[in-house]
Amino acid sequence: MKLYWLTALPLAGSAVAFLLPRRLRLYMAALGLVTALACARLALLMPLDNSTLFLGQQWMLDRAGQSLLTLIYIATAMMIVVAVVAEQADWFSPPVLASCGLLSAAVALRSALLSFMLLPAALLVLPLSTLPSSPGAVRGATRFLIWVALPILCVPVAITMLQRGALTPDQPGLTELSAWLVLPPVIMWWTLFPFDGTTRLWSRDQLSVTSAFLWTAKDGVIVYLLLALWRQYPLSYTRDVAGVLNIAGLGTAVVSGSLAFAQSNPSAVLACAAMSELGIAVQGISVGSTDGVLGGLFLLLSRSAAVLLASSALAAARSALARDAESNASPYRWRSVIVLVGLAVGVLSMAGLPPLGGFSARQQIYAALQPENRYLLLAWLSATAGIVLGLVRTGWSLWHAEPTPSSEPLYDLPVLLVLCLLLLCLWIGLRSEATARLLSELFRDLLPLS
Amino acid sequence: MLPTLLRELFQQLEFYSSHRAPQLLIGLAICGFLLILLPDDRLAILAFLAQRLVALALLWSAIQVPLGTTSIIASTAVAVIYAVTELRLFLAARRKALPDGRGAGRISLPFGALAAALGLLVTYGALQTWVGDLLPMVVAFPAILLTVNGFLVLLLASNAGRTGLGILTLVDACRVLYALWQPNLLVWGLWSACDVLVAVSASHVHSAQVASLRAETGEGAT
Repeated sequence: MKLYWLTALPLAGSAVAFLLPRRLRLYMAALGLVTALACARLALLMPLDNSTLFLGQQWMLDRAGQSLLTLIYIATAMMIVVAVVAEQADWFSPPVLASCGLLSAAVALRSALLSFMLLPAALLVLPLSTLPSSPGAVRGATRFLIWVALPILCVPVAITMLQRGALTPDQPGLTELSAWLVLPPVIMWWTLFPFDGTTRLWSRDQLSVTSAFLWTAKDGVIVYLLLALWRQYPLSYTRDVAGVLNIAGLGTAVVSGSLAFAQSNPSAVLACAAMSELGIAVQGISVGSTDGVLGGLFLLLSRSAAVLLASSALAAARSALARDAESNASPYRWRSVIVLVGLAVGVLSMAGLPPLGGFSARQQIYAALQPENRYLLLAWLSATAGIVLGLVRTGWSLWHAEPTPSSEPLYDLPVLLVLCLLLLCLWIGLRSEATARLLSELFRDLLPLS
Repeated sequence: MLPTLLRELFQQLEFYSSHRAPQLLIGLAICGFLLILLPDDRLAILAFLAQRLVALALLWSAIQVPLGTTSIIASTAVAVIYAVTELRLFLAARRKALPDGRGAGRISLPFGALAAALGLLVTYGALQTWVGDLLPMVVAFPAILLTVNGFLVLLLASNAGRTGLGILTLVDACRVLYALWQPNLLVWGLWSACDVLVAVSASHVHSAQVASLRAETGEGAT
């Protein structure tokens, strides 16, 4: 099986799903689900470190790339299920499959230049999943389009300069300039501070499964590409560049976390928490040491699980509230309780409360950062306080919300999904050492930087 | 038939690029002025496409046939996408007798004229102060003009379609600079594909925006 199938299969699946009429949204979702799971299996079956030529380019999958793609496809399959529950499957599945295909190509291509050019292409298809019913989503998608498309110029210039700088080591200025030029695209694609309001706006009115995809798949691929670039061109990792990335991460963590308090919708609180957590993960990665990078990767993994859990809880909330209201026989609203606990555990994990995954990862990153930042803990605590207060405020209103019946009866399947993800989240938090060991084993190709 | 036509087109572009640069620069300035000035989306799209064609003609001697052909194909795709979106929105509005959602956030003609004049002024100022000494006029003028106009279009955009035009104008400015810098065919091709994706996404978001506006105003009225 050739490596390019990881790109061709999701793109073909996306094209077929685009052509299906919107009323067949369950078929569309089934096609997306089967394609995502097939691609996850395919990624696991691919031979490692085996170079192949296609379109005149070298394609190769290392262990870190294989793990990343497998995780992305499994997360995508789960998100398609969440999209079905949230009645967004017809908008979500086709663009996300296309994006997955292009992200796979970005990971598998051995040319840094083409990988960094494919990344914006993979992100540019995502606004196609914008729901027309949400004005906030429309504005968020428009902003996202701008932040993704604008930095494209920096990429060919920066990477070509890096390649030239590697050939002529007597010109250190060239490499330093190119290291700075890589920074704006990375910050804008991650939507770090001051662009961190993008996904918050996208999720302001209602849950956006596309935003969940961005927080899980997109952020992971950017980390992979950045670490691969730093390993390929070690001179592009400078103290000043890492410092700017650290400040952008801290700004994102504090601003997004604190603003969670002002949100009136649980999906917006989820967005704030996810962005705040990304900021801290970026701080860990910017340190460049093995501990920092591993802490950042652990935080991203625990955040992905928490985002999936909170998204599935939000998607299931409507049907759970409606079914609890229908069944008058039982005085206990157990479905609503499970959904609210799922939402709370997901968001609190991102807020960094013990014993959840976010706390263990923060400890690791804090240990890596401590000598440099005296007031870091206070900054992180302000973000945590904002997220917790935002969760309490919006969770209370969700508990007392009027039930609205879903157009498609899904019985208790959404609650079951929430329960499964809740167990996964708790497992990551309680078995943090085992998870960290597994991550260091899977991503050792990318470590250490310094 | 088609190869002959294309060969003639390429020869014409080569001729204009080498012998009619001053006229093309004036044409670029006029198209940029109209892109900001015109409040109607359909006319603005025409102005944008004319601006792209002029920029392509200016760059032709630097990029030659393979890269130029890629740009022509991408520009045609962008034109088709925008045209189909506008046609769909127009037909949907006429069929359902709903407001077309065009009035919201649109800037007035005098304000547009002032903004476009500001764009030309900033371009002239930038050329006179620093950039004029670093780059030849034929590169510096289009690069600065497209950058300034792109930012102005983005700032004044009343809908996602206009935002897409602003993004594409800024990307064109970057492409003028990249064309001088040993452009790679694969990168150029991917970049052109990104142009098409920007157009597709901007058109979709624009349609969603109009649908959302119609839901608010049209259904409220009925």
